[in-house]
Amino acid sequence: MSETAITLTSGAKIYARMTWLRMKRGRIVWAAALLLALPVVYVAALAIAGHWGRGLFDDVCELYFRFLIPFVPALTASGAVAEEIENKTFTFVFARPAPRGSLVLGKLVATTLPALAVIVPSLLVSWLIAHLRFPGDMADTWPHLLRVEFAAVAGLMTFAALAMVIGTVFSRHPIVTVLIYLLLIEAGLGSAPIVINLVAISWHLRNLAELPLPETAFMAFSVPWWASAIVPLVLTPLLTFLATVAVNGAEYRTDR
Amino acid sequence: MSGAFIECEHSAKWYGQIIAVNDVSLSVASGVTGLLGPNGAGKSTLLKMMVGQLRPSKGTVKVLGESVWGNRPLMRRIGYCPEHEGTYEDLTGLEMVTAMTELHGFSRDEARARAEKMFGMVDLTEAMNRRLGEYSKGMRQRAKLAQALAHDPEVIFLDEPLTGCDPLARVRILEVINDLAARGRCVVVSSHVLHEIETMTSQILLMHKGQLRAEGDVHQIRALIDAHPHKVRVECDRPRALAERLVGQEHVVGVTVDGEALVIDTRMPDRLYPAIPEAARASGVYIRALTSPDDNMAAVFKYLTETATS
Amino acid sequence: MSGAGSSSGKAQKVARMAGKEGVITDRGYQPYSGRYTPEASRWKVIAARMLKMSARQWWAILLLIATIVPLLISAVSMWIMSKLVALAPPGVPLESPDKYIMLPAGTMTIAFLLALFAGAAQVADDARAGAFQFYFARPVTREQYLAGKVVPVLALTMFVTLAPALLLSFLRLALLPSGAELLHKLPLVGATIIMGCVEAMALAAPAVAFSSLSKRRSFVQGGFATLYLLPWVVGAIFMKVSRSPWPGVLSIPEHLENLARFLYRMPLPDGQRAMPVWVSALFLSALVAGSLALLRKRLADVEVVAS
Repeated sequence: MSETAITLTSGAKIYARMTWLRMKRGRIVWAAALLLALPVVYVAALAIAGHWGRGLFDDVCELYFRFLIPFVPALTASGAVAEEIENKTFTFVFARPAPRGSLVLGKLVATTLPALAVIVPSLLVSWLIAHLRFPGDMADTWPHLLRVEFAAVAGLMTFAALAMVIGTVFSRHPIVTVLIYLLLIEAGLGSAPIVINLVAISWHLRNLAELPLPETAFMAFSVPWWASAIVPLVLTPLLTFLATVAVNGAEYRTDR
Repeated sequence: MSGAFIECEHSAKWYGQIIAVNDVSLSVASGVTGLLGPNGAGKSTLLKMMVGQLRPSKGTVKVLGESVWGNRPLMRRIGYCPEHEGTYEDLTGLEMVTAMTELHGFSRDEARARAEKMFGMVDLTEAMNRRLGEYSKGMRQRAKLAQALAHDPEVIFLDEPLTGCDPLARVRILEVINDLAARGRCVVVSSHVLHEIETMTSQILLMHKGQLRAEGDVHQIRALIDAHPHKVRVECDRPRALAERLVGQEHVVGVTVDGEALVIDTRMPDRLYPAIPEAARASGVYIRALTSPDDNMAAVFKYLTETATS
Repeated sequence: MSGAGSSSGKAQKVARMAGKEGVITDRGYQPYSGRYTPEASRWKVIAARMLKMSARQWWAILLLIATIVPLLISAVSMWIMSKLVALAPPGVPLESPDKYIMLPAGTMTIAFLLALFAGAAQVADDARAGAFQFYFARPVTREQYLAGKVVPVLALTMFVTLAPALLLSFLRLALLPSGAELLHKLPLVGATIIMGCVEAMALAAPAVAFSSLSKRRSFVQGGFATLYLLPWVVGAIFMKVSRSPWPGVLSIPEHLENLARFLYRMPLPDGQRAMPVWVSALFLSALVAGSLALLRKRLADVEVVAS
């Protein structure tokens, strides 16, 4: 008998594989991939209409940073733990010696990696299309592309961890609760013309990606890009840890 | 460990103002034990406390001598088949059982081999590569049993395992459960269908309104219920003659003639049983059959739950 | 007497037949002889139950209470603006206080969330719980079920889209300095009622229609949120880039705003262009009609099968 101790990572691997298999057979992964690739179509359309260069690329980045990067994890990650509770399948997985945290980690990996696999190349393609007319500009803007890619990857992971923790705590309506957060904090406070807009993760991602920030008319001060980089780098593990703690201590009932 | 596989001491579970399990103390040894009780008695809550999915609000729940809540290594020795029908509908039966077995630390090949063996054991080999969403109720029940047993646990908790099964599936599941007991495993089967439990075991835990009303062998429990005299039914050719002989004896509480049978109420069955043949011989009565219509699970269940209600 | 005689003859006949072919026993079955409620009103039973259930949820209570916030903000802003308009010398360009009645800030978001919460559960929960067999084992038509499911969501949504705007329009009328102006501004109430109803329909109908597409509530909520938010955000970004209103052609909020501007006679901000109002009216009508048709089709296809 080849029975070995099951660790956080080995458990996460099994959960990730299970989740991926299920997502692949469901429709949500394809819908999410389509959403993430959508800006490529837009950038192509605008390029045909006569827009080009970094300006066009930044316009398309608006779509990523204002909508897709916060929203797609709300679709895919928020319900990952909640669906186990809704379908009562948590009774199978919590009766195993695998750490409960591996469920969170596995689901996070399974929902984030495919999204990253679409978003990274689609940003690159958008940048290439935006520079098709004047390829010489690429030499000047590729560091910007790197910053955008880094911000997109970090942002997607942070929002996925955030969606996971909100979805774990508010397991009855995970998507709507994440949407309330996004509409109130990210869209609402994040675009407010006062210093409070710094509480929004998306504000820091835009700062990190060198994208235009909302004008701050009151108590404005500049935040260096590396400081904004710390926000997702700290928040992602912290939020993942919080989701793990929430699952570890939780008792879920099956009679309602 | 005191020989008991499961021990609860003053265990209770409440949700706000609702007490689901109320001060339960029990111990369970190897073999099959039936956890009986009407709907809402607290059986599933007690089982979930025993498998570490609910934390006792008060008291302790130990399995194999260890506290269950938050005890991951102990899960390796426990198998649990939940009551609900929810499964991973997008996965095939084999994929699900393999993944669940992998989570016990088995390699993928080993887990798959075990899962295949389990599907064979529950007569589901042909359907194991079909998605769980396409399974019937009985097939899901067997797949759930397979995932509970694939890692060869020492203590197995089955919550209403026969729900939705056709007669053939029932027979197969009962065979599996009896085989586990024969191999020295501890199997706790919860059900509110008494004859299901009766075919498996006479060891019961009877719950009602969150409390443990009785624990042990059903016949011994019956003997201890003083409120209801035992009924002994004697089928004979002249019941009235036999009644005349018996009615004056101190251990007989009452007699009723029911056609060609005499129903005797007694508080001392041990003394009554030798007295019946003597009375029959003395009165020349021919006895065809002797039965105890209320020394069974249904009667015990009825008496104990009725007492609790009153 | 003849009747008695005939009945006794009948009884003998029955007795003869019974002797030949077995005993006929009258078990005393008596069909209900009272009055049934009219068939057309049965949707009300479903609707009342759903409304009661939804209104008891914490999220519904929270969102309904949250409606007070935009109402207060808009009321204060409108009061200040009315005073400014009254005090300002003629010719000074000031925004009309009517703009605070037209889709009061934040109410559309609350109405969207309410439709998402309440609408997504309506059919999906029944499909998941196998509740169709309870409804369709009775003389309840699919249309009655449909009405019973849409109306509660509509009622809840309308509470958010209509009540604050209506209160604001009454406040606006009360703040007017003269009776002549009051008469002139009276159509404001009509515009508010039309807009509140249209907005509620445009949010409630697709939300319930989406809930018939899947058993999983998260799929339904995700789908409806995407339908509402994606064209809105994409439209807003590309309208700015292209300086054309057409990228917002699939955006529900964009069309609602366009229609509201028309009804309240609000001018567009400088440099902005809007789609023709008939496009918005057509889009919103098609959205509601399409949603109801989809819902009707999905329900017509329902076969009550054991899961």
